[in-house]
Amino acid sequence: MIKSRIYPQYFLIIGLLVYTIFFMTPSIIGIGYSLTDWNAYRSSVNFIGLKNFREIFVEGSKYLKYISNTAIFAIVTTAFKILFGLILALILNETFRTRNVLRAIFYLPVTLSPLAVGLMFISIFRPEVGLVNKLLSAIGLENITRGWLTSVKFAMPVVMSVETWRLSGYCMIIFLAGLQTIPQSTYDAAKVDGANYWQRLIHLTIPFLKPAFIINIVLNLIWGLKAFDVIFVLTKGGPGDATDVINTAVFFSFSMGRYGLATALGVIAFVIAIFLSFIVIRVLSRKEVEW
Amino acid sequence: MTKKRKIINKILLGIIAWLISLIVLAPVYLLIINSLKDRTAASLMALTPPEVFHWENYLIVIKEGRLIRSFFNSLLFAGSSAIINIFTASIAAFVLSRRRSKINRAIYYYFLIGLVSPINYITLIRTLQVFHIMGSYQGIIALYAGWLMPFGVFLYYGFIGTIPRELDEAAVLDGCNSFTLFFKVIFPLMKPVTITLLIINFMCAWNDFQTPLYILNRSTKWPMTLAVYNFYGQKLADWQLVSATIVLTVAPVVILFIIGQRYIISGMTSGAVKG
Repeated sequence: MIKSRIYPQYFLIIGLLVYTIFFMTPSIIGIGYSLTDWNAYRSSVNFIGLKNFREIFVEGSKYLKYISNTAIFAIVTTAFKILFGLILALILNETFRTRNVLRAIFYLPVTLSPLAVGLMFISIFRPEVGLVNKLLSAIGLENITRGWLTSVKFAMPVVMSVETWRLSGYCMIIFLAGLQTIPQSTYDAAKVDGANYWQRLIHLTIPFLKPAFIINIVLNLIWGLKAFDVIFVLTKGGPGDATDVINTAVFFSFSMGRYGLATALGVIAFVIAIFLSFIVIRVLSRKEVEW
Repeated sequence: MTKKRKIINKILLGIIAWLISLIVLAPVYLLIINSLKDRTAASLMALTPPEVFHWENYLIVIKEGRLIRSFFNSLLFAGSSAIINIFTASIAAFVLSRRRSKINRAIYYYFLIGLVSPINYITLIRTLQVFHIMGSYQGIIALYAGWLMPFGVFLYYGFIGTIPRELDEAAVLDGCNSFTLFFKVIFPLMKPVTITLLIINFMCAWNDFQTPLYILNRSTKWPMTLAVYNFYGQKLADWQLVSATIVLTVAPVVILFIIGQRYIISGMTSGAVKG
């Protein structure tokens, strides 16, 4: 049979066009525009070389702070999401009656729009009437109640915990899928050898979950890099710029009409994501998991 | 270990899990009860259920927030982008999976880059302006379709690999051309993936807030997310109304999640573990 006849190459055209025009083109022309002084106040766009990048990377620049905020946000939320996801998966991998309902409950936040999640938590972190402060007062900890979202010190941990609340269920599902791949016989053999629960967890379960760990780490780092909605709704990057990340900075530079600079920030995010995506592609396109 | 102790352990585990689940359930519960309280009660944000259920809050927000139009906008964006994506991604993945030439392998990887890379919104606006679809329905639908296409290609590519090639050969011998082979034989077989992609594409587009924030200026074209955010800005003091609008944006997605749970989970975990 002639492959080119049955599987014509032109079947790819529409998909490639839509994807290239609306997704890849902006990223690629972004590299060009990031080298210009493109802005809202002048119609001419001039080449200025690496000036935007120099402004971003100059010592003590606020953009460096946003980039490090982004890194902190991505790394810390990834760590906690994986920790909680793993604990939930280990609990809900045991057979008991209501586990399917519980799995659904823990996955539910992943499906909610981040905007809605942000708005819900605004009310929960309100200084006077918010649930968090009320619970703290109820257990006698009035002295640590505060305006969580307006505190320079605590705003970042708070937005990170909301993100963790939102996406731990995703990590749980990935780990649960990973746990299905562990053959029961291996467990039984370990039990016969007298390994207790913790020994089995560390020497058996965790090594088996390696692919699940990799995918969770990489995907969550990328989502952390792209974080916007939750932060924008909860703090708008504030107080001051305590919770500003790359994407909020892009938005505010854009609002101020500094398109060239905003594009340069976007290019930085794109480059980091491309680097991380190569890891994803390598993991996802593996034929078999080797063990 | 005795059987009795095993049972007690399971019960304990269940109790612990339900206690942890309160962390997820409490905010959702708070949202729902607040949407049914009157203004004073809602402003206290207490966990106590409302004394009288104020269902009229929902009627008020639908009228004042002009949510009906936004609801249909969201439906249009999410629905049409999903349909475009299903059609274009499946047919592309079909060729990519069946003809594994060097160039097709490269094209597959080119699609996978989009699985994770962020959108450059500022130059996206420029691109949409060039095509004269900035701020239009067509622009945002095409964008969502393109943005979610890598995921579609990825899902279909994996699934087509499991459909035996002999089927294609038999169909061709029976007189199928490439179109009838794909639409009459292959596409119907991929129903599970199609449903998965439909649901996940719909949810992503429905929940998206960032894209419309950048590219839709006119309030008549706003999806639910922007309408809700705008309503929140105006009605800060009426938390019962804000809560009602949040419930209305979240409800369709939650219903979809309950109906299509199996498909969502299978889509989200596909490839993640087995590769």
